[in-house]
Amino acid sequence: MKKTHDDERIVAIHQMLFEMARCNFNCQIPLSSNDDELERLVVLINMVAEEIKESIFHVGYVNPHRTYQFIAQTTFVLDSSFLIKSFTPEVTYFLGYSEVELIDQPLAGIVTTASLQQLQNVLDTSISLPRTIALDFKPKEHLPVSVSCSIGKLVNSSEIILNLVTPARQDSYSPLAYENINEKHNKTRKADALLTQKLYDYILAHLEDPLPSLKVLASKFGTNDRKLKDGFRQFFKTSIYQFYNDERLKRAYFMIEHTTIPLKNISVMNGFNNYSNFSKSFKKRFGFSPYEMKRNETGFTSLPEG
Amino acid sequence: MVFFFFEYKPDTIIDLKVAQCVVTDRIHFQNERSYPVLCDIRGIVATKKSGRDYLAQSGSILTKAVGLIVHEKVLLTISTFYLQISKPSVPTQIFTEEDDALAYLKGFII
Repeated sequence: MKKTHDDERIVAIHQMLFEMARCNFNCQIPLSSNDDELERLVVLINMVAEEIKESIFHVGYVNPHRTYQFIAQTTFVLDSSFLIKSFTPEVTYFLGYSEVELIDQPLAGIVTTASLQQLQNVLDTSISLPRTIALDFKPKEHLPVSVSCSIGKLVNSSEIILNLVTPARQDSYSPLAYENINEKHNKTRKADALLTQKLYDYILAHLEDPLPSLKVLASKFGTNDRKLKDGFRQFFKTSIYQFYNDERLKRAYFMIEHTTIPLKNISVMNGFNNYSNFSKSFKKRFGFSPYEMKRNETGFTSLPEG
Repeated sequence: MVFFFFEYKPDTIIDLKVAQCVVTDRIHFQNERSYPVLCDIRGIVATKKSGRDYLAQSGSILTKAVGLIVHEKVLLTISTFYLQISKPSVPTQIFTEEDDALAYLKGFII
């Protein structure tokens, strides 16, 4: 009897590995109540699949230790001459332009000429809509991003709609930072990825201290400052300092929200040399000062019965 | 109080929601002080990536070090994975005996 049960579990492991080889990381092997070597392998494969799914396929060989929780649907409405009439709010985060910079402006300002031509072709030819094509967007401060868009028309209207999907990091403290999975990867050496991952993990583990200078960091990781800086920006689309500052501010936010520790102490506990810097930085990030935050002094959140 | 003891209920699955509750509850209990934490995780049956990542990062607030108590092979695999892949940002080690864990955590009392 035991043997049959083990055989079934082995079949499940095989199936899972084949799914992973097909780049399907959404499956999970069912758990059993056994505490044996086979079960260890099962939980390990499940966790590996989960890590690969959430990390590699979103940012390219770097594990951000975060989970992508949902997909944001982003939409543009264009008139027949390709002027932007409306869009969902996510667009401003995705492209980095403000609303004023987009409304009533030609689409030509935010997509490449080739993409505009492609769009025109789809609408000129009598192909049935909606139709999906890849358009190259020009974000305000980043390199062009290629995104699959579905092009469609509204009923009883001459307006054109562009739908695109952007994966969003789950981030409880701020507007979502949008990243595009289709963004063209530069050729990256594995060594650079490993180095960047080390630096990323180091920063997360030392948020309570001031960030060492780039020179000190470079010597700590046995490289030069240029490489460290560029590598980080390439993988995480932000500077080392910005990332550090953002993460420690989120940590501070969490501490203000969940503890009664005096704000001055919280500022010190998150690597700030003086309170005024902390307060300024905090306000810039969240739009209000630390003392304006409502502090939770009401006791406990309840754990679900389990 | 020198250590902070934490024990998971039986049959717990650590997802993001559970991880968040655990961290905020612990912080409320601790009353602003940082402690070495003895964490009896024998009640855990499974973990989700979101939960592991949350504990590894936000879980470090007001902790000096963490000693994890495990008893089964499967849990040893889960916790080893947590240490090596999720990378908790405070010193963390796995133990099968509570006494060994306490001896380890003693090194973090200042």
